[in-house]
Amino acid sequence: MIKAWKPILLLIMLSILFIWIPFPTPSKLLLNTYPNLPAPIGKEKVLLTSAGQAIEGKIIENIADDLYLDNDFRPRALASDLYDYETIIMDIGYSSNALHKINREFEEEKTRMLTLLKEANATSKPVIITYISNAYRTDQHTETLLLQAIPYASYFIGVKEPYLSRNIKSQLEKTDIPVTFVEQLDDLATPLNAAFR
Amino acid sequence: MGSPSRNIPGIVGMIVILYGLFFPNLSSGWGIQIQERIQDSLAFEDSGRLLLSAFSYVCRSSILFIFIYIGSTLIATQLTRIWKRIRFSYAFITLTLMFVLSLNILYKEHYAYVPHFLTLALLLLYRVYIPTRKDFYLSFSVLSLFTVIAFQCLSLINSLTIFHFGTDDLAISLKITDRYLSQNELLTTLFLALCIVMVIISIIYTILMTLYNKQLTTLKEYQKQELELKRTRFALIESKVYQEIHSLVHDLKTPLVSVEGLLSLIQMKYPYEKDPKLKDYLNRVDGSVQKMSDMISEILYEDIKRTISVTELMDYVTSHLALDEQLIDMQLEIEEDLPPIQVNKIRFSRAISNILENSIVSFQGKQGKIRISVSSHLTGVLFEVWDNGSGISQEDLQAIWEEGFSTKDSTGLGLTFVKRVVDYHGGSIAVSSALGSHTKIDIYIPSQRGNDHDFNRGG
Repeated sequence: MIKAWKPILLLIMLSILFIWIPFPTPSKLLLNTYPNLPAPIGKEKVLLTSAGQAIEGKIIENIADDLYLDNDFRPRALASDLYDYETIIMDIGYSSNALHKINREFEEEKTRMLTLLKEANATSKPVIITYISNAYRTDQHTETLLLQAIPYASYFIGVKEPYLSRNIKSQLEKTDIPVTFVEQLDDLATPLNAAFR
Repeated sequence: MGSPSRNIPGIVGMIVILYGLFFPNLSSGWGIQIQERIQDSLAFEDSGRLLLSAFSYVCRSSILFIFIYIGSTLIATQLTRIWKRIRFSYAFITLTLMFVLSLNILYKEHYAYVPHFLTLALLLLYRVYIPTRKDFYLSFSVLSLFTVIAFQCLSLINSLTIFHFGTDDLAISLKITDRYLSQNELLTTLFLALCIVMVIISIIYTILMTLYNKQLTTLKEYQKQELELKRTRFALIESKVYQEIHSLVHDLKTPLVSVEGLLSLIQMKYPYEKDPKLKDYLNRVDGSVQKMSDMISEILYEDIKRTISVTELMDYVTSHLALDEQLIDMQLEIEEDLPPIQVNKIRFSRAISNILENSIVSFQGKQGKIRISVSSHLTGVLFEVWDNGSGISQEDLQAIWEEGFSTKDSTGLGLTFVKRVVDYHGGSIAVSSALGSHTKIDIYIPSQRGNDHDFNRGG
């Protein structure tokens, strides 16, 4: 009977270990956070796109619609599509299913994102990066996209979570751009609105 | 590796696992449909569509992992049989986690491990209580289904995300959408309730299985006791019958002594030189009476032995066998120049007859072959009886010498008697058999005193 309990206890120990080990102590980096909103950054018309094709891009579209921002949600937009827009809002989040649906590899998506960001920088169009899934999508792909996108950003908006990668925080500090973390998804409307009006 | 039928769980397990590993690919259309529904729920701000996609997600991921769990159960059972030292639980844990890891490598979906640790822990806890019987796979599969569904429901509970529940793409999409549409209230409430219901169902199922098993064990115990009682009753009756026959045989001696006395009186009263024929008749009657008296003595007293040739003994044995209505081909091979043996003729021939009768019964009226071979062996004589009848199972071979053991609903005293007779003659007996193939019984009898030959008894 005792022998039968050994593997069960082992599994419980493993669960406890897995639950606690991957979470580092919260970083002490100081970042600009809401309510310290920046001066307006972008102009309309806005191109909404997604890097990694996660569903969160659609949430940003909904919020933008609620704010009556003149926008187009084009998750697969290319650099050549930029001519028609004044500002880019790019949501970062890797979704394996969504990429599979459009039959695209991660590397292709990364290249599309970088080309778009480089073109925006070249044409001096502001880039607002949103990252609203930090505690959910803690995978390597999302982090890679974020680390590569942040240097091109003009403004970064995220949702406050107990866990945010130290790498991402360091990258944000390095670029010295305005950063706003909101408590809830609903609060996202305030900094997004402030960025335009 | 064992017979092919023993490898069936392993083969079926491998097929199930392969199907599980390819399932995300096979059901990619389903995954895309879930994704589209989530998008629609956002576009229309419709929680109902989100709920439908959440149920769809739980179904899809439960089907995927039930393949992994059932496959791992089957393979672990097979491995535990081959490598007896490795316990089922550890093999089951290793295999399941290995296949979840394979899924993550193959599809880069980031399926969480913590729910699987807990699912495995709960399943192994149930396993402590559910019996390993014929329907074990079915019971364990049902329990796996409920437990897997329960923990897949937990994947949609937002507050558990930081504890590594529901880290795959679709679960995250669902949770983020729920966060936007209902501040996590919809999925958390519904799927927590569903998880609790599933766990309760699995607990009730385990309790029912345990109780059913206890009932079954008690019933089997009763049946065993009943059988034991039946055997003892038979043995008692048989023993009484033997006692009766013994007394009867003993009583036969009294009239025989009278016949013997009267015969000698007749011989004295009527001088036989007058009628030589009468002298011959009286001598023959006297001889027969003497023979009968010896036979009675042999029946009554085990230690009465006489020197007899093997041919004479076997003639006596075979003359008493009823083979007329049988389709049996009986061959008797007696080696030439065998030394005479000293046995209690009646008892020893009864022992050989008993073995032959068992062989005949094993054919159940069908065609068959019995081969009896008698040869000199070491300093004695070896009787070998071989038949291609139904054979004896390995399990029964261990019990055939036990008093009262029988597979034919009889008293089961036959082989016990045979062994006692052989032992009394300083010999030994060995049985080897294969179920459905043959049975071979070897009886060794020393032809002179001081032999200590011994077979490996009991087959």
